Amino acid sequence: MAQVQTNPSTSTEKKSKGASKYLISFAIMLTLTAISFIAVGTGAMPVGVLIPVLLSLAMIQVLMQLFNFMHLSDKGSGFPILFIFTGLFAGILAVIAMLYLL
Amino acid sequence: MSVEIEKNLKLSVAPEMPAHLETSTLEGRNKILGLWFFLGAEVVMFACMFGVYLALRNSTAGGPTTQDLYEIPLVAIMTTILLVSSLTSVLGIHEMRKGNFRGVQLWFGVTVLLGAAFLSLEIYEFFHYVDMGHTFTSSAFGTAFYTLVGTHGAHVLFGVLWISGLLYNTRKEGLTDFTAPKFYVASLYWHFIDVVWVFIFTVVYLMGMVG
Repeated sequence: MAQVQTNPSTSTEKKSKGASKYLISFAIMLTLTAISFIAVGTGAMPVGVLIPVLLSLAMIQVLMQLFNFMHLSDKGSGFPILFIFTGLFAGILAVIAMLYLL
Repeated sequence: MSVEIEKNLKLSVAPEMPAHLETSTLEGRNKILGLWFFLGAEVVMFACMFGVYLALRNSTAGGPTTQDLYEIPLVAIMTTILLVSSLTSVLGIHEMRKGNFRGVQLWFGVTVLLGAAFLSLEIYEFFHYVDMGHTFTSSAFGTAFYTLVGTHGAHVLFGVLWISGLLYNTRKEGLTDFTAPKFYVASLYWHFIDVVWVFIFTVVYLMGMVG
């Protein structure tokens, strides 16, 4: 197991670019979260509109986690995408079924 | 790259994965695929708990309701802590891909501390609810609530112990093609904890506050 060798010139180049990508994603996710909390806290929206808005904001944030933070946007992520979305498909079916049955 | 490693990588079911340190061995690739497979199963488990919670959240048996219990400030603080910890763990992976082990130790260390802070707030929250008469056995709502949120909390605890152990075990070895996949799968698991929390704060807390 060799200790890692990095090329300093390319690594600093990648550093500023890559880190800002994560910081921008983080800022967007924080904003989405803030919108959700403010929408509930102020009660500005009728409940019928609020619930779909909250669920959409959550879904966007989760997709950003998966693709930006968990690197599903990297090449060769076919199997991870298959695994996680198959899980989501089965899970959403289970939630809908329970809402109807219970 | 040695001929043997190259041959191994051709055997990988995901030959297109980018050539980072954590994907430089067949074992590393398979660990990452295995963790994603596990996360797919975790999604189904948590979804079933969400389904049960949604179906039973109004069965309070005369005890406190969702609107009596939940308060925005505490949930907002817990959400922020977990979201920041998700950022710090991805920054740890960013440092790992640059080969900077000190950076990995720093960011994963911060992640562990934030996870512990989240856990203490959750323990405080649960004690507060029990004082208000909302317990595991007080109603169907109580059982569904503590099962869902408690299972998530148990995942946070496990993640804190996992990453702490990983930092301790790798303190001398540093970053190698053997330790890098371990950090990578730990970070995937940690992000997944935040993914579940996004649904918990939306479906349990925010939707519970609007009734």
